[in-house]
Amino acid sequence: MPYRAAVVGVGITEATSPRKQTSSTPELCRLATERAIEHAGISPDTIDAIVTGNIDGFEGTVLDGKNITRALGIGDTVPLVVINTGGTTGGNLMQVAARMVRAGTHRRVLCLGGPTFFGSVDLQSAINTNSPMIIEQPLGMGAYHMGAFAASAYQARFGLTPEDLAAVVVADHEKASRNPYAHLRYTVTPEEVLAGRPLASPLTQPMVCPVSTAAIAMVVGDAADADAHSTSPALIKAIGMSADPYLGGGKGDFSEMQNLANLARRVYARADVRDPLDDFDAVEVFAPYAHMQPMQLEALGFAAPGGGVDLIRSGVTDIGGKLPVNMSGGPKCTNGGVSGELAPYAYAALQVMGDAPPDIQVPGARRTLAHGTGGSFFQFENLAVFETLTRSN
Amino acid sequence: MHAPIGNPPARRPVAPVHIVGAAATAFLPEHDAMPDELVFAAVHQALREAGLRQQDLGLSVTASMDVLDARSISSGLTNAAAGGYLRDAFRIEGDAGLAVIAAAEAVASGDVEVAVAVGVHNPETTGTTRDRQAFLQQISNLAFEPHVDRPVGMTATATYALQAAHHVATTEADAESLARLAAAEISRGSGRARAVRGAPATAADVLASAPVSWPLHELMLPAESTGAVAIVLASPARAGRCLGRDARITGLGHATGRYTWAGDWISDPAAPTRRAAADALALAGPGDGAVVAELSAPTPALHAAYVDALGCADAVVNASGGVLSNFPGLANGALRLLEVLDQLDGAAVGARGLSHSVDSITGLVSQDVSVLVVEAA
Repeated sequence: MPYRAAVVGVGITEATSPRKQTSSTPELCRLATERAIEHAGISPDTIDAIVTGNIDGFEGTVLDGKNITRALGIGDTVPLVVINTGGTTGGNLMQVAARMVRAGTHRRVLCLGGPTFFGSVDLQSAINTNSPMIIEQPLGMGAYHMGAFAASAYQARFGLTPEDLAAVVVADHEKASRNPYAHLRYTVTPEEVLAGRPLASPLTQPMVCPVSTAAIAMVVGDAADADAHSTSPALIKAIGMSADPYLGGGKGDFSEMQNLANLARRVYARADVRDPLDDFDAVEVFAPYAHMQPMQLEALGFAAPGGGVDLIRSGVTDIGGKLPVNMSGGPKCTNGGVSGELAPYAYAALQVMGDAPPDIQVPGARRTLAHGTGGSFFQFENLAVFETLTRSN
Repeated sequence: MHAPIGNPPARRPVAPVHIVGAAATAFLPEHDAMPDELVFAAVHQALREAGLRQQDLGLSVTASMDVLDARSISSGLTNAAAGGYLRDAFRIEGDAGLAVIAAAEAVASGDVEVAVAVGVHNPETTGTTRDRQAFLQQISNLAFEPHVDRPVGMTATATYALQAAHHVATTEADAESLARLAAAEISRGSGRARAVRGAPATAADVLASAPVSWPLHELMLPAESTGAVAIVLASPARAGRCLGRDARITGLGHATGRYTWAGDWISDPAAPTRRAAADALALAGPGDGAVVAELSAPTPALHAAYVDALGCADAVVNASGGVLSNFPGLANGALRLLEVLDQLDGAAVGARGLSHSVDSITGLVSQDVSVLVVEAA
């Protein structure tokens, strides 16, 4: 007796830095929830479960969903599920919610991603604790140090240049400048990117994501209720996760994302996607570091190995191109932790609903791909395919 | 915009899910093992019991918490041990009862044929029992709201004591009657392989144990242990080709309680259990009452309220001794289910059991409750 699930409402708050943020975590979460419920056109008391995420080591609290979700204005007895899978937490929220609806145990589930990094003093130190404790931890490995392994390997194998990385950053910022919810809404030049503070070769500070504060909420409901909503829901056509927990020593090649490629094959088969470049109208990938976007586009079948940068440079991934990618500006320009991880799902769903912010809406988008990733040496991935759900009315 | 939609229609039928494997590690005060070692031991044994291999899994769901495992994103460490390599896998920060429910939902949705849920609990600290308790209470305090509740020292144990005190003040219960209940639970479980309080206890023993917070004494609180428990689930069709045990989950319910400001966690602490039980029993449909039940009452002051909320007064309740005999923290939900499965072993087809679990992170505040209705298949 499986059922179908769809995204019926999305709520996003405007992002900024923790220093400039004037709202608290509970206020941001409540605002995102209110916007998602208003977007869906539903009554708040019809939410029958909440799935939220906490990444304890990154936050100044433990399981703060325990109190925050009791004050969202949707009733204080709604069942709560808390997910923590690091960088894939946000995307997994929707996957878990979708399965609750698809199983039939729930009819309307709220996914809530809060501003994970609000209370962090030193994120790199927190991330250091998930690396192997004999060698990597004492070396002080943080997220972008580990991320640079892949950038360096890709550079060595395919001749990636710092200018290539700068081109990715420039494109992301141009897109973010049109997204009213983005954090870094300014454009940059390649020269500014290359002149940025070196972090871990070949990455400079402008090539990595900012620390943002924002919240995102999504309502996942029964697709059978489509006609009753104020939106054209985004059918969740196919979902999947893949875990590659092998640490650095066990990974054969950092220059390609085999785990993501494996997952893509599995999810595409479920969605009957045969030619990704033709079959998708827009894509949102979780690429907080500049080298990740071309590598992910390759793993997802949009370009041959080593061809990701050329795809981006060609304009194919810009709005008006054949495959608009990260019209939101992506996590390179807005990364609020769990909210940033949920963002690709939110924006990809909004595209097929026709409700993305006007300046980033891809006209006529009917099938989109959302991606989430997490980890450092290990890699977790998740994907979802959305399609416009045709209403009978 | 359309007018807001009212209450969603009644819940729909949910496909049954079978339990084909279940296994646990030993339960110790402190395991000399990493979380992934415990997870692997339990999952490997549970899969083997069902005649399955890692390649058969469609989903792995782990229940654990980073702060207990002493590393960020500890699921990166445990996923492979849970069979999640190159597969769907995620981690719930909560009780293993929720992991079982999430895995069951994935099977019921038709997305996977076989799933495993595993709870692991081995707080990364060492020292005396008192040291370990202090560590758990410190983490509990960090899970409370930071501006009001943390500064006044709210912890899980504080909520239990506040409720127990209210219970004594408003009913005919007193410290002695609570001690008799605790002693009965401990004695019932004593001598069983999974008991960590291995010797029978009297009410006098309970009252002689260390006072914690009036009216609670140490032996009135859960018997903290460490270990891992894995449950393997399968669709009915796939279960038909599995070896080992077979039981069927016919109902599942999950509820979360209100926060501190509501106050009903003191005056009506069984409310979340009542909601979860109502959902689970509604899904299970009409049938004979449960013949066995494993409920998780963190103190004797909660026992009667939970029995009433679950409607299991006529069942054999806590043959294992319940959480006063063994409480492996976040793995408790899976252990309670394992105890029910063992008790249903050999029972007539259709004989019903109830498994009830609560998380102990913030005690009775925002308490997560899971209820599973299980039938012998």
